[in-house]
Amino acid sequence: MQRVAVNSLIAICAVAIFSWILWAYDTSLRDPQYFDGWILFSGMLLQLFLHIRKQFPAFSLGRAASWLQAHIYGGYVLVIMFAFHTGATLPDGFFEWILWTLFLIVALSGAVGSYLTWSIPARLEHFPIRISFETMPAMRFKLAKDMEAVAAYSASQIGSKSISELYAQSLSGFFKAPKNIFAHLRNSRRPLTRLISQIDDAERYADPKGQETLRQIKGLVYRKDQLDYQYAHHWLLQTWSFIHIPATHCLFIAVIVHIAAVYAYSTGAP
Amino acid sequence: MTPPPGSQFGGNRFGAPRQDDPNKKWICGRLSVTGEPCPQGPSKRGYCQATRECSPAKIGGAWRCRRAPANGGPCEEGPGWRGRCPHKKPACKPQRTLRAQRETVARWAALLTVGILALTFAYSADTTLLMPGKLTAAHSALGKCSTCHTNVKDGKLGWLHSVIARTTPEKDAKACLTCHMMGEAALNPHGVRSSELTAMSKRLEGYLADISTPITASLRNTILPASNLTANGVYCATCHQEHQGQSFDLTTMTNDRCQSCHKVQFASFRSGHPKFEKYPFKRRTRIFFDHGKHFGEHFSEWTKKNPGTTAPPAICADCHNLSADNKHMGVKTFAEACSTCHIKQITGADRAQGPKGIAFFTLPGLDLETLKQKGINVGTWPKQAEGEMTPVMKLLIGWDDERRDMLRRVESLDLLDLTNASNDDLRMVQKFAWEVKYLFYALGTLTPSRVIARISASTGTKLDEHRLSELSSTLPRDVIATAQSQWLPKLKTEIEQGRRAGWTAWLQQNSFEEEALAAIRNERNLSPAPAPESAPMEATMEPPAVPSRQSPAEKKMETPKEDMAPPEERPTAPAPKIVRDKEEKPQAAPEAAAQPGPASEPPTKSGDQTDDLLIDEKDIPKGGNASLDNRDGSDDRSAGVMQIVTRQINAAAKGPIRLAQRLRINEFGEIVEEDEGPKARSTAPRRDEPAPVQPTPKPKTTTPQPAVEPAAKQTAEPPSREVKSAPVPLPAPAAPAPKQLPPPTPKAAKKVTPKAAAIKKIEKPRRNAPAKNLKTPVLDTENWAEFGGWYRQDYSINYKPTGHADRFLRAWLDVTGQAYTGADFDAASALFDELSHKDAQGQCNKCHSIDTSNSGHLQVNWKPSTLTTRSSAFTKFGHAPHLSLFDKNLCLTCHQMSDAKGQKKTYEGHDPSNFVSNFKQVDQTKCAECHTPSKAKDNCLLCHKYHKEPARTPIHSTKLPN
Repeated sequence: MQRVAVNSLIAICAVAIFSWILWAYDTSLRDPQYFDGWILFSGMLLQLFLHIRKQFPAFSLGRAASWLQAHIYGGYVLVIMFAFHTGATLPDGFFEWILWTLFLIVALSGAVGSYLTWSIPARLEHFPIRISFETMPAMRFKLAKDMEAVAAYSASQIGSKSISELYAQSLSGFFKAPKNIFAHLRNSRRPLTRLISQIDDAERYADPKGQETLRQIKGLVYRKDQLDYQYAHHWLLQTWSFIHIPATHCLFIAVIVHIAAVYAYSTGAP
Repeated sequence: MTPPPGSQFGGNRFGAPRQDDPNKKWICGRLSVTGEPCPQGPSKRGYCQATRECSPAKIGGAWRCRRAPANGGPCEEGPGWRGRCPHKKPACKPQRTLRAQRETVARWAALLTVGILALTFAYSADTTLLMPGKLTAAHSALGKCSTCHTNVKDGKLGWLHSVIARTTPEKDAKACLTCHMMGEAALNPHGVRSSELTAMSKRLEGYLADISTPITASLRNTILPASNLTANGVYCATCHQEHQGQSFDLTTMTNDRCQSCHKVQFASFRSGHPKFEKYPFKRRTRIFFDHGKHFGEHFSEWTKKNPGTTAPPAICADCHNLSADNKHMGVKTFAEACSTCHIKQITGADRAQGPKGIAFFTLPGLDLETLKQKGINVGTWPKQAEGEMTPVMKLLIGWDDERRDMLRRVESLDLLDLTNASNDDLRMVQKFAWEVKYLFYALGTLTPSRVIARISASTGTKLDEHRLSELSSTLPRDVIATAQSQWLPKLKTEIEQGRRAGWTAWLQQNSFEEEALAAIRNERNLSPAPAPESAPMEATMEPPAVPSRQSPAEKKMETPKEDMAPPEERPTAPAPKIVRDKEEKPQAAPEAAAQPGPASEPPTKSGDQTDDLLIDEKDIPKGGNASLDNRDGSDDRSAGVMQIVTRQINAAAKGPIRLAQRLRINEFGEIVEEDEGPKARSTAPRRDEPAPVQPTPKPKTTTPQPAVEPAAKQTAEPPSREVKSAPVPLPAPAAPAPKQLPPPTPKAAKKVTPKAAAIKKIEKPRRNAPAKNLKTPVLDTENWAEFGGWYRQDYSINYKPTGHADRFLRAWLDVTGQAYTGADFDAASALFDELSHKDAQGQCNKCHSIDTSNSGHLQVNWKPSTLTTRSSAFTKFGHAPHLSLFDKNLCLTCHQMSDAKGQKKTYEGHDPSNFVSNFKQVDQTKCAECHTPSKAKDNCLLCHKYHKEPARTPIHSTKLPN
């Protein structure tokens, strides 16, 4: 709480100083839009350092988490800068609309991303190991293979028809692909509970070996569910950047055209 | 399968391998198929590298199999001689990582953006899509960006040129000024010259001690001083930012921006704004009006003296009204507010004594006796003329330095008593006399504007046609013609003879004479006149006592024994005989050419001297005024008749028949026949009879009679004959009111002829006094001109103001004021002083104040303060919004009467800033009661203007359609 208060105070002071500078710039017969425009563009360039940091992990450029933190704070500052630069009004020209829209997309996607990067790690922190998104299919395949092996064992060695039916009807599909993505994002355990209840129902009619097998199956189901949970959140983390980063690319192109146009048509105060 | 190096998959409870490199663009395709990616992984370009069971290694110069134990360990065959595994494996289909996919999407999005922009630019009609916002409605019609953005080329990509070749703000600002003309100092702060700005700054420095600058402003001034920017000028776009919407107010300006350049900076109107100083009266009112005196005395006196008539003003609105724009509280017109009491002062109806008109042209009096004795020829000159030369004449004659010197010298003389004058003085008097004659000649010969145009040369001021029209258009030709014919009946002949003979060559320096001749030639559609007749004559004839630079004349003036004698008395060769008599013409011309007269010989015979006194039909010039210039192309036959008659009157003065006893020109310039009784009528010559010759009285002089050739004896008379001849029975002007002259000096008394003495005994009249000895019981001319205008009186031509805003007087005051120097002998200054004197006819400057203009000359304030005159002020105020806010004191809420005295005294000077106001200055605290940010606002621009001069819009030079 104290940290938030301090950060908020710093942010307020920064905005106040920036506002005063803009006022001084304006009242000294200068055009503040040049000033806050370049500040805005410089801030956008600084935001790219996170990308650079990720591109060159071998260089000791600080922790990625710190960069991400700076990127998020920088993003919020840039939104304020943008409000100053545009006068917090809607654009009036065609190209201005493009710029404004792109910045809005980048800013909103960034805001969503910052929320996700703040909320998802908290959700995933109870998992002892973090899994990269790319390795999840292999894990999912291995779990499916294990499940298939258990099912085959139960069918050949135990002769449990119910386990075979359970596998055929519910479990094979469950292990084949990521399941219940949106339920996991909603933190809903209902699909898992439903599946576990099916296993419990089958356990009631199984013999002790069959019950042992079903317990193994239940364990695999839990692990698959956890994998899906992580997959769902990693997928979300990856998906929003599919909006944020391409929009940023577009924004930079538009900004460069904007700067060129501003100086092409510039007149009056510097 | 061995987990990839560095992976934590071994400890992973999922048991899956982990791909550590987040920047890897490809992952093994087997990962998602078998869950077991190959150790090599895909290449950087995404090709599967695990197409064989192992990757042999060269150890000790031989290839060794490295197949994993899980796959059966090293094979028996071993690698081939090229180190290739012989056991092929099906290739996987590597998959792009999510990051790589994202980068691809980003690149495509960027390309898409470029494409969209390119297509948009390509298919758009112009570059308006780059506009940050719409132009204001007033500028919306500007089609091309390059109209304002001067460095931008036309075309869709023309703006890119400006990115490289940057322009200067000044260049763009000048583009604004093509439509919004702001003067030469447009880009200076406030659009004023630097000197003016410096003066204003210095004036405001006086407030520095009393007003403290706010801290924020001080800090701002230190970090970002505006003076650095404004040193080279303030460009239009500094304050007027376009592209902010159709309804945006381009003149919006914050108080802080207004103050950024100012030395005196303050928080608000209520806190720190300099106190009002002499507001709203920073100068005296242009129209002098003593409110206190009128309220306290004049209005009550009027009521007492004029009971039952128009009541004097009782409320402010009786004299003041709101202007059309509801801002300026102006003064009602003279007719509405002042005329009732003051019109008679202007027309002179209230003038109890003194002339009611202003003498513009007079024939100055000369001591003809002395001139004659000294042999100074001034031609015909009426002895009764006793006036003084008017400033207007001085202005028209003194058009160059030489003539101004002449006038200066003549002014120092008593022209009515030249007995003590030196030869040089007399020569100057002669020159002066001829200049006066030439002026009258020119006035009758040329268009008045050409004569008046001499003022340009006299004063150095340029006169346009409008001004010339004002100065001359009312000059009445008939009054001048009549005056000329009566005062100087032989003027035309004398001047023309002089010009032909060359002894008026110095007069011909008057450019307008040449113009006149050219005009006459053009008018008659004649070929250009031959070489000036004077040229050969000048070579052979010595002018008679010509006061020019011609050396023979000067030499003769220095040896007066013979040459100083009157021309007619000198035994010289006969002068060129120029007559109009048909019979004499053939002989006269060759005679004149063959026998040039001596230098001091005046023309011996003028044309009118040879004319019959009876009017012959064929003698009436077809072309108008004979007495002035019968070459005039006008068709005024009646005028021609009048001139012939006038000429005959003049001839009668020396001829046997005194037609003038019957015919006379009355005060109104009309030819009238006096009733001389049956006897006179019976002795009147018949038209077909030769006129009996009346012998001319011999002058009583001791000087010898000149040898005159016989023909000339009968018909001609020397120009100075009137000195010695009997009084010409000219009408009224020749009968001035008597006035006692000062006793002549003993020397003068000796030389005064009996006739001159008789004249001098007559009381000298005031210059403009009406003649008192008129026999005809008619209204005197001055009173006849009841409502003003021109009239002739005695030997002066006068002008009486026609009422308020008299165009003629106003023009003369303007022109002479513009040329005013205040120097001694400055004719323009003298005329201005005469016309603007408090007792001058018209009394213009009783109310209309006189200011010293920027150029140091004088300027009469004809109009009261108006929006136009106040347009250059930085402060603006609208009365209308405040009229409903008055308290019980109404106008006096703000305009409280002052007890200060001496207002009238300040109007005697010409400094408008030196004044005493009838009102106290407006109290600023009264304004600040309402003008706060929360109430009536306190924006700087609410009461102040930034641009001192408003922008003017040029009228484009549209060519007329064919």
